Amino acid sequence: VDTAEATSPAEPVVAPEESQAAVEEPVLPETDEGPPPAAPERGLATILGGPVESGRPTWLDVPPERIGPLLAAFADEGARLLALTVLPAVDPEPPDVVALRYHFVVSETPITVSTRTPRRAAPSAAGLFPAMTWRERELVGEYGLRFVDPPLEVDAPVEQGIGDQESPPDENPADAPLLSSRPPTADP
Amino acid sequence: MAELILGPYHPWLREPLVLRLDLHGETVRGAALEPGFNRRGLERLLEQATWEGALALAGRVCEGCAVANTLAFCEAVERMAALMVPLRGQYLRLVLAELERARSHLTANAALLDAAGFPGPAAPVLRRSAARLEAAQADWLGSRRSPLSYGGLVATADILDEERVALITLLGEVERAVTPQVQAVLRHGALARRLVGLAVVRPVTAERLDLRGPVGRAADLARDLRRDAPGAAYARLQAAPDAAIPDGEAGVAPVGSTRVTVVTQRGGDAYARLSVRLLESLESLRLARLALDSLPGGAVGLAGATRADTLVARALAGRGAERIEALGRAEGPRGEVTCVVAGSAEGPLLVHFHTGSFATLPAVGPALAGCALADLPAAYASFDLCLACAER
Repeated sequence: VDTAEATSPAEPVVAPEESQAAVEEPVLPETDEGPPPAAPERGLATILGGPVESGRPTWLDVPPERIGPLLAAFADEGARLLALTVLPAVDPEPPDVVALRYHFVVSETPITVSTRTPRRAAPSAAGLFPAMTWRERELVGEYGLRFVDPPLEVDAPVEQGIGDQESPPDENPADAPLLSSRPPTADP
Repeated sequence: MAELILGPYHPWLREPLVLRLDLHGETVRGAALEPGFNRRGLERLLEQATWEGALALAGRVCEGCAVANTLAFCEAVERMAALMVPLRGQYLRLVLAELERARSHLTANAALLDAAGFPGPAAPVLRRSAARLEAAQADWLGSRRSPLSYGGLVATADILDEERVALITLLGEVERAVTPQVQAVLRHGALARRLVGLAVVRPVTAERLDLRGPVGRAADLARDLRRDAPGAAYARLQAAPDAAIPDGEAGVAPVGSTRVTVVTQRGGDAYARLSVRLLESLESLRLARLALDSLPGGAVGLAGATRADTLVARALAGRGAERIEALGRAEGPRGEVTCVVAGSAEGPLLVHFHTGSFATLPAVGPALAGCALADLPAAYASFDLCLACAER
């Protein structure tokens, strides 16, 4: 390879075994009245231990009970959930546990959230990220997963719950030009 | 009320799918899509493949989006193995991706114009232009097999200078043939009256469902990986000064700005999707021409790229980890392709494609509600669904 003509490679993704950003446990109030309610997740910058580093893939390994608040934090941040995957059982682990991966991008920076969850009680992301509704239904068929509180039952008609219902009215003025071209942004 | 069930095999569905329609007279009150007839279990096959075999399988997810799918897959593997792609390889990948986008958009628009009963030569010209692009690419590559490989392209895919000039000339000819047809279509009042307001996807719906590609951009979702997260070639191209490339040996018009123009519309209807694809096809022809005009020298791939198994296995073994996971992304004709790959030196353990058509599927049923039955073929064609991509 002519190294002078070669481009810099994209920053390689760190393997989970190599580097896992530790997620700090939130300080929960002590109470005698059963388990405390889930604490609101802090901003992504706090979770990641700093601002999202542009372009550098980040890995988060979290326990399943933290997934709900974490997903909410990502949704609040305007993150896109690009894909949801289940890693086949390559590690010795109970057959009723699966490794779930949520692949986000925040400001075009990939962030992967990893968790191990019971096969029959996987946390559903489709409520916050409706784009994952069909993907979760695929995983039900492919891996025998059951999602907790999915917004759409697996046997429901496909158009239910994910269409135009309850959409606020559009704000397209009648005289808006049909064609518009966004100016390109400057390169970073 | 009546129920009409179309498919799974129907002339204007193009790919197998059941479409259940609730009709009130001639009006569609509700529509439900039932896909699943095109599922080939490719992701499962990929889990059992070698790295070399996986490359071929990734291209078989969809014939029409083979470059985009393989690019996303290769990018993920290259991230895992920290492989560097030579700049000439990056540029030629860009050319292949833009040719694929132009072909796909031209074909999809021809199908939509046919479905809408558009008179005149536009649909045949677009279809013939797409065929010319496909033939030119086959002439260059010597086959229709994907030339993509880990770390660039296979060495036989390098383009000779005379082939490069011939391709630039052809791109100019196609652009000159397509441009007047684009103008004719966009100025046709009867077509606009038929397609404006048909099968509307509102911007809020597009945002919520994270729609990708032309369907999202037609609903004012200005996302395009080529601009937002450009790969090396797109970044290098856009970093070049905006000077017009002078008329060269190919004798074609200057290509103009080096920037990627993201075409958006606000209507979210069939007309908006048609317009976005028409203008994007011209943009793709321009970008391909620009990249060929400024093609750098050097190798198109890494040494040893023809032995993909060895190349990737060595690189992964060198990184020392037992298992590595990575995400690859590419802007395909029907939207962003996301490919998640996990693997070891022996081969992939997990490959998952989340494609633009898969993202579009949930939006189609609700958008068809309210259409007249006679408009349904045009409304459905305007989404340019690719079930091969969506079902893998």
